[in-house]
Amino acid sequence: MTAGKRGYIGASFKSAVDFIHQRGLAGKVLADCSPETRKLVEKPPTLSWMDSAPLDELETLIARHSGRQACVDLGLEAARKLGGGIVQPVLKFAMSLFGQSPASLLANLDRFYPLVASGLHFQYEAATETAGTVTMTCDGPACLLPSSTSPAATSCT
Amino acid sequence: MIELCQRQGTVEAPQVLSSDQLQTQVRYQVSWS
Repeated sequence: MTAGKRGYIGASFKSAVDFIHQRGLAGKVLADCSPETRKLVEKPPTLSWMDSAPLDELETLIARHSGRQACVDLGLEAARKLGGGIVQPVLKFAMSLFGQSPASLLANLDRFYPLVASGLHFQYEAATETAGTVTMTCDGPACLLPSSTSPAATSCT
Repeated sequence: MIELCQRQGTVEAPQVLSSDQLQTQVRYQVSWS
């Protein structure tokens, strides 16, 4: 993995591999992906770190074959898996220190993300006690991001 | 943790502030009840 570039822990990539199998997309994705990424899909890493290119490629193919919402669904599933696994002890510790509020988590994203990703940086600005703005800066060009704001919103619990 | 999980949250569609080959900056509006 090159310094200063985005990268992910293997478990993030494994979440995407599980997702394409659950959604019945594995055949289409494997038919279109590069030989290097196909090898990783067939034998996904779990704890080793990897460059972002294979995950970017999978997400691009998921969007092509199943739409952008599928990528949103993948993001939520991966966040729940990783937040309930590797990151959970740190989340619990942070909430015990800073308070049991989403604002505590949002203000400390830079402490959590390095456990599972590199090259992603976050800043939180609270607008009220229950709303605010997260600004994410990631190394490298945009991948699968919209060109402008749309009225669509994602709800989560 | 349980209290947090019971909250209902919304993340607005992201807005790309800037993007080039070196860096991409994206803003998300978030709220919860």
